[in-house]
Amino acid sequence: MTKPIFLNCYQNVAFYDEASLPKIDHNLGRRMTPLQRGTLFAGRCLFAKHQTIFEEFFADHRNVILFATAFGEVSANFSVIKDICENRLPVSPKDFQHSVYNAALGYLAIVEKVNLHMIAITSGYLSVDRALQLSALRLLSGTPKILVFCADEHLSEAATVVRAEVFLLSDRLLPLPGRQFHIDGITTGFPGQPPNPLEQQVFEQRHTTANPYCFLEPQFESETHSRVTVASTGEWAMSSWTGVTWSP
Amino acid sequence: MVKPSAITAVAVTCSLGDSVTAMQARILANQPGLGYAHRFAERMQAPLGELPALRQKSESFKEAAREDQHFAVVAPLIDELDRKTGLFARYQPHEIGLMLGTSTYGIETFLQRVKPSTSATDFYRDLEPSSQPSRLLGGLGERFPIRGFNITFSNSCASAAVAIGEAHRLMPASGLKAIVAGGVDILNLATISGFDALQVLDHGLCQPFTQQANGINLAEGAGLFLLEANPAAKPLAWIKGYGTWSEAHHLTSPDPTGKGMIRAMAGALTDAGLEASDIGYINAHGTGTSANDAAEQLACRHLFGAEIRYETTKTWHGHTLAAAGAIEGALTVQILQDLKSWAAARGLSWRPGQRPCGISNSFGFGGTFVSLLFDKEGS
Repeated sequence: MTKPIFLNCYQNVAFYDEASLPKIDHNLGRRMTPLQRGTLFAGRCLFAKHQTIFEEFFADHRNVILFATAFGEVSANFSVIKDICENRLPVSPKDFQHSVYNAALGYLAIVEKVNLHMIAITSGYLSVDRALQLSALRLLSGTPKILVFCADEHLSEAATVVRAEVFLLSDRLLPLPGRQFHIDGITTGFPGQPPNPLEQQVFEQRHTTANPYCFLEPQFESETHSRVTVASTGEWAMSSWTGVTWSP
Repeated sequence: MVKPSAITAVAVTCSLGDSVTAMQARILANQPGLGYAHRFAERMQAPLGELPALRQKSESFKEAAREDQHFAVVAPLIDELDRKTGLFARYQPHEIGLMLGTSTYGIETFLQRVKPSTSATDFYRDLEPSSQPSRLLGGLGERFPIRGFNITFSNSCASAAVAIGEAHRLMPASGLKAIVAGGVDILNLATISGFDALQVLDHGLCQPFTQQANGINLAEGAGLFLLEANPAAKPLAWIKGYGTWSEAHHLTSPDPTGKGMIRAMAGALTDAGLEASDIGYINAHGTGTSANDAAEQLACRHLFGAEIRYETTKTWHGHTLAAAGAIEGALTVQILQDLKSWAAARGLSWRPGQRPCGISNSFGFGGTFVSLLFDKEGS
């Protein structure tokens, strides 16, 4: 990369049952899916921690918001498909319009009153890594800052209902307390032998099904870190990071 | 402003035909590709824009759904791009990127597997890579020598437009020498039932931008653009502007004043460094719903004046959902090759000396508004 890229701040959330999901908006909240509520809640937590940074972020229309999800609106899709399967027609219009991959972005715009360009991507097990890669390209192309949401629903009764993380990327360190991260490199590859990571933080889809996020693991206690993600198709992604601290 | 991106080839397939010239000819002959005799006829009595190739494969949607059709539809288009340009002979695999938009990939897999006894837990447990939209790119990567950056966008009906716009925006920084960008969507029972539940389908042939307009005719198809950083031959046209806006109004309906659409089109103009008077043609999103059409007409008139330089071609090929931005964008590029003749044939305004520039609009659920600006003459 010819320009530095920094991960400036982040927030992660995980909810283990639907009842614990926070209400987001008085009028819309009851309509939202778990994925949408988890996504917006993660955003609100981060915005509240760094209000000035995000007021500036939302005011600059060159900035971009990116949403990455492995399977999208699973509960809404299941509801629509089950209705068809059981011949309960018409299907729920609410569930249908909520089933699109970018529904969470739509609600983010409505609830937070944001008009920035919003992009939804899906790359299965590599969704987070692709989001980082796309963000890096965007930053190298002149976009000042990118807000990245990664979120997924889980329908198993024994597992989390929704996980979401959100982080801000830019081309510079921001005047924020705590650690920020310089992204040293991001590469992806097709089936073959991926490069050895600096540390042994390897995520393989044949071992775990849940899309590996960045900040739900304790690995960021170390100064440098790299992660390798390998999908069951053999595609892989590797990123490496170094912790940095802003000083005036 | 971003450096213009050279469009060296396009490839499309939809109910109107397998090329933009075929699409043009049928529009001029007033021969829509929409019809009532389609593979979903036993469940849906509204016209659809079905791909002739899928119709030939089977009489029923159940039979056609036995194998994923997205790959089968897109792969020949990539072959076509290669035949037209020698793409794979001129570039190394790592120099070619692939950026596609889709909203329907994987749904057919779900429809095949869910039974009345399937619980939510079963459904989630059985989710697998084959149902993820990114698997489409994986399959294409196995078939073709494309090893550069690849990604799947899913911004509903603006997906392909986003894919093409992002390819344009990212080309200089990516280091790629060529990017295949576009979109594909294949009709399935869930998508058709969903739009029917929203009560936005016209059960006759759609008539957008007319007083008889009564909704959408759904359709399927795929479109691809080949963008090259250093084209060997004169490009068909250039992408000069990529305007986007998140309207923040409603999940499925646009603001009736058209302000989001105005912002997207104005953004494309600013991005291109052009004025509204430079635009000789607008391929509108024009779905046939009163909400979209009224707002979009207001937006076009606000920006471009009273002269009618906009039209929608969905009257003939229907709404191809995520693929719309690629199919209609490709058609716009083709129209710009002889804008004067097209305007005369279609009764659109045209001024002597009009610059062959056009805009293609794609608006999607979630309030995603995208306008792509094409210029036949480039810089």
